[in-house]
Amino acid sequence: MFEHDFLAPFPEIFLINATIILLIYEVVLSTSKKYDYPPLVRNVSWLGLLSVVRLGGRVWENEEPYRYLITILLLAANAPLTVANLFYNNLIINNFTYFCQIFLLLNTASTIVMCLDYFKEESLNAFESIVLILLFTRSMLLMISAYDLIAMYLAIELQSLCFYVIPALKRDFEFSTEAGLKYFILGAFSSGILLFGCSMIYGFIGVTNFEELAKIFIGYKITLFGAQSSGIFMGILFIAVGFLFKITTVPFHMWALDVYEGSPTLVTTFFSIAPKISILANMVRVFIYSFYDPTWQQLFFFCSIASMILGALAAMAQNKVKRLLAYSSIGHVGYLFIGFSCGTIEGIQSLLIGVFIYVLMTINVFAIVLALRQNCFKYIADLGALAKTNPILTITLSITMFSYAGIPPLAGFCSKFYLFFVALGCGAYLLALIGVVTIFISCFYYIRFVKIMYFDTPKTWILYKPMDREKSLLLAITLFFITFFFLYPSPFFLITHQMALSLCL
Amino acid sequence: MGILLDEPKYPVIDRAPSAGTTISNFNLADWLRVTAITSASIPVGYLAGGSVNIRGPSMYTAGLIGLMGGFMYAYQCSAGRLMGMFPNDDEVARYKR
Repeated sequence: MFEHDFLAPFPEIFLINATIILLIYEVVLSTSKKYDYPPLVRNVSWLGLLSVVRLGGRVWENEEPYRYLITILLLAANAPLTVANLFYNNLIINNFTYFCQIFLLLNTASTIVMCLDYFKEESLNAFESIVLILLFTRSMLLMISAYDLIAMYLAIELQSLCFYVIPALKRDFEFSTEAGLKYFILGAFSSGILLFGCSMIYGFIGVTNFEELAKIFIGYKITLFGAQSSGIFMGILFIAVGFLFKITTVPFHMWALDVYEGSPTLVTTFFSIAPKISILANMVRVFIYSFYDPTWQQLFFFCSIASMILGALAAMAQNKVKRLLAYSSIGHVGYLFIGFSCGTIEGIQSLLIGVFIYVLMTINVFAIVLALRQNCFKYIADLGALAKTNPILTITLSITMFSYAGIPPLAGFCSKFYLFFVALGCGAYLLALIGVVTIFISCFYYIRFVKIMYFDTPKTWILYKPMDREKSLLLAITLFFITFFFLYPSPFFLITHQMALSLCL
Repeated sequence: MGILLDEPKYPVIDRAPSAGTTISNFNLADWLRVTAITSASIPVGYLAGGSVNIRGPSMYTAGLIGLMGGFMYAYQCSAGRLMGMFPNDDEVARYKR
């Protein structure tokens, strides 16, 4: 009955088993009198990193499977199946899935690397957070390869359940508890709306598989007031609202600011990076492959414009770093939606490029924030002494901020240029114009970082401690890519083009 | 049931090999892969457990994760050879396909 089905998702199966092993290990050892109830966070972080880099990504080159023993490309690079529909069309594997899963695993590994010192600095013995991160990663892998509304919803719920817990990691900190509770209530609400939409689609059409939905909706005009399509319209609208909520798009972004600020910084890092990849990948499959219709383009145009404007204007008044980065995240989702809402192959390609570069920049920024956290770095003004005490870190942060601001020739400029180029190509001139204007506005608060670091006199001089080796390495890798991406972007453009083609053909 | 859209590039020995067939098809290279990955994981666990004096349990856990990963990696290689996705001269000679 299941001939090839369990061979293809070997990375996911491995991750599930590794998570269970780690959970048993943690529970047994943390209560062990023999080992004097050891703090396990750092130890479990390394074991979790061992599990993640075992997975790696799949290689889409079918000419000669690369079976290197480079650990990060181990299991998935060796996958014998590269294009398949699994479990009665509930999951799909193709080049688009591979790219997104590779990228997701790299980001998870980066996040775990960033947290190696975090728990020690915060005196937080929360080893269960690593297990939750691994479970969350597994759910995102499933979400990316979901090919059915039921599979998609199960993966979203699994992701959400893990995410509801980790903002409340600091149990003795009221903001953390508030963030967890807020995200739980609002996240459950959005999941309910999404499920209601899925149920309406099934009720009016009778199928849940994306491929069958795509066949039904070819040439089918979906309108609110049509006799048969109003229910379908409402169902798809509810699904869209559920997704827009989870990706913190205006006007469903309200929860993000308090949750990002109240959560532990590591959790904020994870919130800013990982869900964007999986949810955008899923949205692309649902709305561009299954429900392709110009009706949704108008909705996503509006969300894109609103996110860009709010992200640019609201961040100007922020003094706290995490809140400012939350608004920046909202603004960048608006830019990514430009490519998404165009609905073309180039649009999907620009979305993938934009996500990749945005994630690298965010890893860079949050690695710096985490490194400075030990010095009670909370406000932007606290950066006043950085240029004098740590000039290399100052240069790193400056370059990343310039990249966020879209200043050439950095990677951020390349991604935004291609997004606007795609918008002009599909006739969305207003979208491109608003995007350019909001980027100019956002330059204010990105370059404000540089001004404070180099030209402001700090109110209190803070002696910054040296950062750990792991974060230094991560910063070096991401900074290298951000700075030199413009020299040779072709391979990346070719890969993302192939990913987009595999989705559309 | 899975629908494969890949074209096998080498002779197909078994289109859908069972677990027993795949494991019995493990060659020396597959067992070396299992051993190598397990061996590489053990020192990682030993070093990770050093800071809190739990080297032993950490080493065993990492070894278990490595053993599982190595076995799955070898399983993939073996299944791929049987399905005609990877070079399989030995299997072709053995099954005279």
